[in-house]
Amino acid sequence: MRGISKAFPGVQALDDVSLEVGRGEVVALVGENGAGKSTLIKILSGCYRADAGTTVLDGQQLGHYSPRQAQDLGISVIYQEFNRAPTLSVAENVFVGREPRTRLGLVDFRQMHADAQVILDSLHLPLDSRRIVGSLSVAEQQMVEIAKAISFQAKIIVMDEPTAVLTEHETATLFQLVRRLRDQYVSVIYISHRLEEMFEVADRVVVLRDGRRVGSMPIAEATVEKVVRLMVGRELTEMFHKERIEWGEPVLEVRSLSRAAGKVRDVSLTVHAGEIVGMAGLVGAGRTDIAQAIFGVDRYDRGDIQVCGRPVRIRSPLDAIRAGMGFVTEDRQAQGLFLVLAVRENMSSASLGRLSTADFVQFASERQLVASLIDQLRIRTPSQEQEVQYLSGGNQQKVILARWLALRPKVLLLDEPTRGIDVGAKAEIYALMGELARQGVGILMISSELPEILGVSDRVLVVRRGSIVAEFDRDEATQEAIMHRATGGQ
Amino acid sequence: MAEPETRTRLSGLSIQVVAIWLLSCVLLPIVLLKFTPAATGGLKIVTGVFTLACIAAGISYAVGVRVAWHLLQACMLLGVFLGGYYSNHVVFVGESVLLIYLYFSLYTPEVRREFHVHAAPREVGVLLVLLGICAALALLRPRFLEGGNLLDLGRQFSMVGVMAVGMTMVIILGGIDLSVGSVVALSGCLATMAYRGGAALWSAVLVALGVGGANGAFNGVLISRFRMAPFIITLGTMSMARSLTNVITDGKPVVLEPQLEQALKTIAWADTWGVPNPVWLMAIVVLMGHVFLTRTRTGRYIYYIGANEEAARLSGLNVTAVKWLVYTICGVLAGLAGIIQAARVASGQPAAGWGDELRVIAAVIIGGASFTGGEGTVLGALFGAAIMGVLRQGLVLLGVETFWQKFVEGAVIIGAVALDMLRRHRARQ
Repeated sequence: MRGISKAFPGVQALDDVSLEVGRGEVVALVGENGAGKSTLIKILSGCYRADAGTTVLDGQQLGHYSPRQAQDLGISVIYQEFNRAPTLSVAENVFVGREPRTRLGLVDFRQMHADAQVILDSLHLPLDSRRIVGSLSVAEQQMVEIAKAISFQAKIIVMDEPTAVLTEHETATLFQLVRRLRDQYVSVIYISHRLEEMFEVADRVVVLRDGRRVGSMPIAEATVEKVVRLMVGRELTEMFHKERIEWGEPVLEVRSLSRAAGKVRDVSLTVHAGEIVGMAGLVGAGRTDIAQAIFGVDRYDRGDIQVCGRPVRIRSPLDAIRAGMGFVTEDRQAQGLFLVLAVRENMSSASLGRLSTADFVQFASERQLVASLIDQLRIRTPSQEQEVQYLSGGNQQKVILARWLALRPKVLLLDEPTRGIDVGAKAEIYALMGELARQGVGILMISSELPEILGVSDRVLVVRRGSIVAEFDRDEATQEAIMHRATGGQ
Repeated sequence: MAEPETRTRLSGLSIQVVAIWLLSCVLLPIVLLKFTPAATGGLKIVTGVFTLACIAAGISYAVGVRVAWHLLQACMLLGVFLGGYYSNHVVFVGESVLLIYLYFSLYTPEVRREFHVHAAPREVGVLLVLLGICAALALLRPRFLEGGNLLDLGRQFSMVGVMAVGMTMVIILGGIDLSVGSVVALSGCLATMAYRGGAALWSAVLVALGVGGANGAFNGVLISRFRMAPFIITLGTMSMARSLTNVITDGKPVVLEPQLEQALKTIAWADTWGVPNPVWLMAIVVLMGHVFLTRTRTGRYIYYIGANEEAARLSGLNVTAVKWLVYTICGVLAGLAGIIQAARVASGQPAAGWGDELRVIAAVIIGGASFTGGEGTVLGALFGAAIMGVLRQGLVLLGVETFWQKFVEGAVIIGAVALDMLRRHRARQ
């Protein structure tokens, strides 16, 4: 791809970006959210048209093409959210729309399963082509997508954050697969926010920043510091700048919280003013369930909750908000954002009660509040009226944070607050958490990234099967110890 | 970064707009008043209003006054309508074209940002289509603009207009209410029966509103509390209400004595200050609906719930109560439409409102609302209802066979949705 440019209303998403990928080469494409990675990939896959620039494949210049034509040309993209049909079999997913036919024009299932199995075997994937995709794990579903790409004789496979949802073991398997693809002369463009990963698989790193290409180097010459510096355009002296704050009184006390229908079993925990408590554990261990029970999303059957020493009975999120809590959910799009509404409306949704008199919204104070929050959190948006769906992931996350900060909460529950956002935005969110702690807010943070847990938390709770199985102070917590307890060790 | 640069005034102002402004401010009055043979008093008022509006537009734009902006829009529209009312179709067509052009040039992204005009004002697009259709009709059949005809038109679509306000809220919420047509019949018949039975006129009106409200509340409880699908529930109440109407009236119209008939008729046929009563009712309902949706907290909650119910719940909203309220409002307004309908024919007709639900939903969708929820405005729905009404009457005026009417209505709905998708597509690219 040469000299690609693309503008959206209010943003120059890409400015004269070039990307070359050799045959059988694995290129890691990195950059902050909003740097233009997704846009570049969408142009490559035919979803968008570039305003300027050309795409050349095997020496042949391509005109405009549709996503379908891109697949036929050998360009396949594996998105974070897969395009799969969960009720159909593996083979049907691989050959969807191109099923082999019998002479009568019916689908030749035998042929289809045989073909699918050949592809699966060639990739050494231990999958049965007859299994129903919905019953597979996320990692396996991802592999079905890769098999599908191979069935198109893909020359280039783009993987967008493939490891975001995988466990460590699954990630290792994926990397093996990537290496195998490389050996078969398939080129891979690999997008990830986990920088350490690229050293395991990539041959070369290309860095984008603010819609421009700011660097490209062989992996041998790259270091994490160097890449991060290129990505953020400044030195990140220390990602986690942890300062010691005197804890105050307990702001959140939970005693023997249980919920029969969910994974919450006899949970007791305390968060003090100015303290950041990390909640570690495997995916599905029940961390989100605990947070949801505390915030009143799901009702708990037993247990007591005290906020700032006052017992509260929480039956709905409204009760929790009134008590002084805020909850940043794990899934931004599904539970957090009002995508078709403006940034302003997204920020004020929880504080409209304060912003209105006699049910009439005071627009002036609303705009003022939103403006100050945009300023404080350095949210990049052309205006308050921009629909939030057009912002980058990091900025969307900040909008949600702003929604809760507007309430001046005493307790903040953060569920995976930095998932899918870039290094720069992550650092800003950590800094913000530190700032809030200094102001005396108690923070309970759920995270699957252990370095994050270790870097930010004053205390670490480990959750397994809905119960808190271990508690570490900042000084005694290590990745090994946490993982050991999270996986069931004593 | 946060606040857009508001100092660059006149930034979005193109040469053409300046030219048009000069034309409106200077040339238009001279041409109209000097060279039009019959410059009536009405025409002078029209010209005056329009000229003033154009001048004020220029000034308010230059100094960046925000409130004036909406006032101006109203002034310009008033100019156009007055032009129509005084039945000078040349003036009407000319001003419509001018207004359409002005809107197109003025609603550039820069201007929108400067004046805090929220998002792309979709209802403006609908209004322009409406004006375009009117202008075309005025050219083809100048009779269309005669005052009496316009008022008649208003009388006709006021029912759909009233119901469209409630339906807008329901559709913004991401729901649908199919029962409004049947409620028109049920509330109309029951109110007429109450009136015949000796109740005062105002209490008959209350009966209609109460019946509509009860039906809406019933829908609302099932949909919000028990989380049943709105389509199914309202499909059910649609059948039930229609059936109840027939049971109660035995399938025959509820007829009144001549004296009562006359009194009931005043609701639909009398004028107040030269404007038909149902048009007043519609105007009040639209205004209240507009203020409710755009200015109040509860109104905003409707958008939140429609855009993302889960996020709304997590923001501490009482989703159940808001949903319940919205369906009840929709029912009450259907009851209001029911009494207007009964007053129009001065009797309770068990077959009244047949198919009205589709007409109302169509008006709301033409007005820019989306079935996925979170989007839509009362003004858009009003213009959508007006488009349907104008088209209907236009076809009659043009002498098109009545059997084609539904065909054209259907085509307009498809066209409106297609246009909207095109707009969204452009916004994404």
